[in-house]
Amino acid sequence: MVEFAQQLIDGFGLGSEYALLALGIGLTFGVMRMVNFAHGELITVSAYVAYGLTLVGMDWWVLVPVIMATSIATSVALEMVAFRWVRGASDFAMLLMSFGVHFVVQAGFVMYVSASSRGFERPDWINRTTSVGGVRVEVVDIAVIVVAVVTLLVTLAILRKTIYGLAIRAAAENFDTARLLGVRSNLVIRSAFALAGLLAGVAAVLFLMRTGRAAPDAGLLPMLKGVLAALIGGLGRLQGAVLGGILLGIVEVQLVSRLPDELDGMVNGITFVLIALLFVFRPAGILRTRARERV
Amino acid sequence: MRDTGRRDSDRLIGRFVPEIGAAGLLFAAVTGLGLAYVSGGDAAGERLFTALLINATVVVGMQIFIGNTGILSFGHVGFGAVAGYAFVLFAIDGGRKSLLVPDAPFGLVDVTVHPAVAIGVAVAVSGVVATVVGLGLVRAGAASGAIAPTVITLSLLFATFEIAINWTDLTGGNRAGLSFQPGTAMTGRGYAYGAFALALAVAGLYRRSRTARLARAAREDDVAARSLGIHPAPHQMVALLLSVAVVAVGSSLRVWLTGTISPERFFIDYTLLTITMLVVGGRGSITGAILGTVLITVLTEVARVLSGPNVDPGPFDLILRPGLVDLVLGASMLGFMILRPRGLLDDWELADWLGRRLVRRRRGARGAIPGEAAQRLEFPERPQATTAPVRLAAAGVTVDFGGLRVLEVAHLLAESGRVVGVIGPNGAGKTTMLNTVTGVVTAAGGRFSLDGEDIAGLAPHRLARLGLARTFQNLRLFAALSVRENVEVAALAGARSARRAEARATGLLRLCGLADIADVRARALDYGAAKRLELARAAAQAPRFLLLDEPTSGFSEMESVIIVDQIRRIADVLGCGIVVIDHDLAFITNLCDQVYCLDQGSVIAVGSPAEIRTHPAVHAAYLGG
Repeated sequence: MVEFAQQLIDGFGLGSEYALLALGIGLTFGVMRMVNFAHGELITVSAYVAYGLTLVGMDWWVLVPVIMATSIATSVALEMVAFRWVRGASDFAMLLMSFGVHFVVQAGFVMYVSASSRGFERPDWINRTTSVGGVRVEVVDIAVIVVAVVTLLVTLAILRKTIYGLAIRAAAENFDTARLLGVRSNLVIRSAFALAGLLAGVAAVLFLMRTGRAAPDAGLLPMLKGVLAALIGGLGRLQGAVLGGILLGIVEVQLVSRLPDELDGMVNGITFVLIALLFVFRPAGILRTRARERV
Repeated sequence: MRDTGRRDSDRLIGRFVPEIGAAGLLFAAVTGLGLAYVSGGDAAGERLFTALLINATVVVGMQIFIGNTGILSFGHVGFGAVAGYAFVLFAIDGGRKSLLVPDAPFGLVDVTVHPAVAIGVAVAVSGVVATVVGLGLVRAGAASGAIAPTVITLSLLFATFEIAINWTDLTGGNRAGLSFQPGTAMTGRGYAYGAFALALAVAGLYRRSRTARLARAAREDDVAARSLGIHPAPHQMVALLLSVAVVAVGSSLRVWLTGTISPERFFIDYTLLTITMLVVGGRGSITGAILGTVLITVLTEVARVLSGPNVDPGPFDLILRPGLVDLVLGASMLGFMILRPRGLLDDWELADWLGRRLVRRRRGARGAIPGEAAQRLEFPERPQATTAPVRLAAAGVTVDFGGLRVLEVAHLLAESGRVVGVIGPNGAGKTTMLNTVTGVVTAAGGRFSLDGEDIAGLAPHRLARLGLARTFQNLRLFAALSVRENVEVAALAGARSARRAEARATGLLRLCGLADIADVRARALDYGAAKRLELARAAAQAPRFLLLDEPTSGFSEMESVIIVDQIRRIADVLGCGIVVIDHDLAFITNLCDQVYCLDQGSVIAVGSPAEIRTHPAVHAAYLGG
């Protein structure tokens, strides 16, 4: 029982990181109809910023806002230099555009930093544990869950209550109509990218605190998990993305604990296979019933 | 009889000669270029040329799926990894295997076959994986558009990579990988030539097949394809399996010729390379795939040499350093997606060009093609005048959108040989009615029957096959296909015989005044011609009922007269029943035998045109009063 609670907490923590990424991917998908395969670059860039700044001795508490600002700036910058050119293009062009951006950024780090991964110092409280009702939990797990959940709730509240949120949701619903009604497309798209950048920044902080590693492809796997989570929840459904992320995290932790030890390395592979199989049976994701197109 | 025989052989020649000729030309061009390049005789040059042949095989294989279905797949290199490991595990000899992977499962250590046979095994194994993945792929694609399949293929790529790294009993893991005994890997290029030729032939012949044409129609417009009776899934599956088979051959050779495989070699870098090759040349074309492969091979080779250790970068130190190759590939992709997303050649195809030249030469030699003038519209399915009329009936139909009842039709009846009109102001539920009858919208309740059979709840493509054809209010043509192809695809979807389908298409093009522009792409048509084409396409299904959604919307009175005439002629030739939806009272009452008037989701009047014209409820709905 205690063990199960422990796993649930772990899974929830991991899942809420995925949810942060999935929500960002869902937001930008909503306003652009583009699945952003370069979303992981926000983590990669953050990782190198963390690497560079810990090298010169910056404290982690100062680093946190810096990472978030970097992530937001990178997200908006990528939209301005790259994605704006394929607005309204075919799915095909947009998917490959973001795929290409991933490789250009990755090649940049290979060329100007290093092809191999670089470690950096993690905050010293990262390994501390505490006990909650008899369950031993790492402080970082609690921090992750609290931070992620608060961020998700605030974001959803922003989307629900503010005029910007309304504009983004309207654009996600029907971009052309929203534009006709006076929603400014540049502003909406950029604020969606900024918001996605903020969410990815939070995810990056949580992720990097634990891994303490910067590599040119550091963002690749988290990106894929985020995209899959968004897809599981039904692309373009914001709550679905959050749910998909948390579900993915819980399943992953369950797999780690249930599978025999020698298969531990296979968890990602098995998860991907399971997801591919999921679409045989639930082709539109777990939530969505059926995409309806106007005929 | 002899004349028909000659026409059939003409058709066969017209179909296959250009494909085989184009494959031959492409093969000659690439090998000629390569042999000229390696004639200097250095080993590095030979390796590059061999790699080019193998990459061209893989890229042409990918083109079969990506080009014809329009679904972007990142997973083909993943299928290649499966094939590569299957190949290597069967091909390397037992002694070597017991050294590298002594604990290999399934008794693989004891099995060794000739590498050529192992390629067959690789094709089979990757085919099994592709079947399972493909099921998810096409189902997800049908349910939520083209993006879900792409993500699934990407996750497949990662899955094979992760499994290859971690299932060390089978794969030897990432560091060591699996390799042939030094000296036993293939050194010659014979198999690479063979695989490349095979890939070209398979892709070319597939392109001409019925299933490929239907796949391309679904690529252009899924909803319209279904309305013609095309179920995209099986055609996408065929494309996937063929495509994976070719990729598997190429991947096996990639392993055999280099003598080694590791998970990294079939992962994201190779995906980037092959996808870039495909999209730079033009994914819609085999010729484009080859062109892209050659160009990108040259480009990456230059980048590799310049950023390598043997070149002094001098003042260009900031650019000429390791990582340049990936930068060049990524940047090419970005550049093409922004400036020319359909690639250099778009869907220009050497075989088509050859075919046109061939036809022109033959025409020049013989004058007109014999028998062409005498060709008539062939509709063998046309019901005999003596049989009882077929009925399409709906009763007690209700449709809800999110709890709101938008349609409630007590009774609607159409019969073959008659024209039924449905009229009503905007928002009355006319299009919803049509969408419900054709299966696009699911009714909350009610009965539908066609010729006495219950057809409620059937999918659009099933209804189309039963004889319901439709047009769309906002045109849904297959934009990248020619006018002729648009009509042919519709005829092919329901026909057994390709010859008959093509003849029927020719006749309908003439009937609708489209014969002169038969080779123009649908996206280049003006509005009037596009509307006529949609009508011709629907008629090509030889339907029992033709359902037309606002056939004259946006037309001048003059054009309306023409289209009314065409509708009449088509109805006459097909002997089908027609249901026309419109809000133009004059048009409907001119054309129809019987008219239903809808308002706010309910039928408010039924009757002859004369009765409808004077019906008070109709006046109230139209003029407000």
